[in-house]
Amino acid sequence: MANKGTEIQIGDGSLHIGDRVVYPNQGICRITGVEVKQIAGRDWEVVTLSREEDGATVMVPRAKVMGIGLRKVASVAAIDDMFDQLAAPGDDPQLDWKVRHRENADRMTGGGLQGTLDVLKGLHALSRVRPLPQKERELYDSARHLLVGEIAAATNLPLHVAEDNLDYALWPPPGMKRKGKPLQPAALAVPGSSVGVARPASRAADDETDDEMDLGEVDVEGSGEPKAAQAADTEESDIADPSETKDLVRQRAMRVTAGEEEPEALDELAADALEATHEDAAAQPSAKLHAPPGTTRPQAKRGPAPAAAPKAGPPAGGEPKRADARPAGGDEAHGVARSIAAKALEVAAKVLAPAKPAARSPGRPPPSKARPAPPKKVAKPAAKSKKPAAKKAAAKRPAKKAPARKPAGKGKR
Amino acid sequence: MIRLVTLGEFPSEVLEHVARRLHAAYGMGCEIEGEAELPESALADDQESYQAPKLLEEIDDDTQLYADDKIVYLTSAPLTAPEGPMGKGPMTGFPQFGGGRAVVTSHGLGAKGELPLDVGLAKRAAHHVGHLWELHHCFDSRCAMHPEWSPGFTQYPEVALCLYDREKSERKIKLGQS
Repeated sequence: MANKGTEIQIGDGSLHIGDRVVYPNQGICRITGVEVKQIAGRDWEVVTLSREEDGATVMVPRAKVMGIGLRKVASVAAIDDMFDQLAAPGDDPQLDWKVRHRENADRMTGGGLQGTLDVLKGLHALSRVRPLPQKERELYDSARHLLVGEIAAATNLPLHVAEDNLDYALWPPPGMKRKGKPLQPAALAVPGSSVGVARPASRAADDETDDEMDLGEVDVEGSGEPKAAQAADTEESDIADPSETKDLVRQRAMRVTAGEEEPEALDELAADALEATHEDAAAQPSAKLHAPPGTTRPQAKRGPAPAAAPKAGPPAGGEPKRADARPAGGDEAHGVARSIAAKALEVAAKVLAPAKPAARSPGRPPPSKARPAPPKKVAKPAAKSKKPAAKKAAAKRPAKKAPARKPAGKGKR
Repeated sequence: MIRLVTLGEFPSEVLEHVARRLHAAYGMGCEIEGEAELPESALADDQESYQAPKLLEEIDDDTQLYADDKIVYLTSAPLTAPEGPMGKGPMTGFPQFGGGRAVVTSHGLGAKGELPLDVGLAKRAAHHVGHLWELHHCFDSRCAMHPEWSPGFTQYPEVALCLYDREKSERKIKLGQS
């Protein structure tokens, strides 16, 4: 092992034995020497480092020292600049968790002071909007740990004083100034603080690990989320809007009423929607998907696909994911699906009703959703719509469609 | 085990309250060890406050510490610490981060807008014991590890840790040698 007096240069020549360096994701280390180690039958020249925190030894191949981001501890000027950035008001946090995760992972791997600072500041800003998921809470703690260690190493302060100074910038106490400029003291209740946000139901499935802060009841004391957060929430909830399927069915019903589309397609969409939102049925393998080719009715037989037809796919297919993620809402989703199916079939029945108007007695009110009519005297399509069709969808579909297809088919073909 | 050593006069009920709260927060034993003298050599230039890091170094205390025992000195004297890049800020105590000793002051407690002596001292002690277990400051205003100058610290007098800090401290305690 060599000492500093031998002037062994490491990396690009800026590092020497005895220097204090920052190892990305590990913290402050001291270079203790350069050794030759035999690993897997080969001789490797490795730089040995001792982690100051616990004395652990880290060995890095000499050729890869610069590649892994090993660097000298930041200068006092760089730390001062960092505090300027910390004390400055930050931007809105990145709300897209995928982008945030990727950016933060890159920054931490890079190991730069600026990257670590960005991670800490971004997550700190996010923690004022909503509770951090477990992984990001760990990342926040890790970034804080690295920064505190580097501040302490650069300024030769105890760790606790370094952390206090870091938080004087993040949560300024009353009367705190930065270069003569007074900082706004930390508010009593940060808007949408970590334990104070009642999260919208539509976001419940967004982060599976968003359940860590459990100190007590929810009490919103702030004025709410920033605009960016609200916009993102609205966007996400729009995507997962459970009424979207219902709207699409309604639109198709209107097209059927206007004679632009065959009613059977509507019938099928309603059944599909019911199947898709029914957890039990959705969990089972689809009869259509697993049927041998040629045994299912081709798309051509259902008539030309309208322009809106492909749009109906994603909501119906996307619903089970939401239903899976929120088991508590399963009944509600099922109820919505039932009402969609009932409404769709009701519209279809109305369109087809002129074919046999005598089937319903004049004084009898039309079957309502709430009270199912006796099965004997009610028109077939309406009566079937009240039953949980999803369980026996395959068996009942032909019988259900038979009366609906005949008149419409005759009229058009 | 967390051991409490007083550096001055404290009512016994206050000390018992602090010991109970610490035991509840960290799930480990806490006992009142006795008294010690404030080292005069740690007096700051103003001759009123004590330099906290120096106080911990020079305190004459014969308390026996085993393995990962933590010792908390309680004083009513004001404390100071070296000035950092942000200047001087409020000082409620000073722990040896990740170490075994911390000093906590009751200075300022009971004043207008501050917590009562027993509650405030317990929360400050829990905060600095957390630093001894390598816990960092927490953004959760109800957590005892929230910065002690933040209004949330006085707004929520209960001595409780957030789930993350509780789990982290439990991990550290379990890994402890004692």
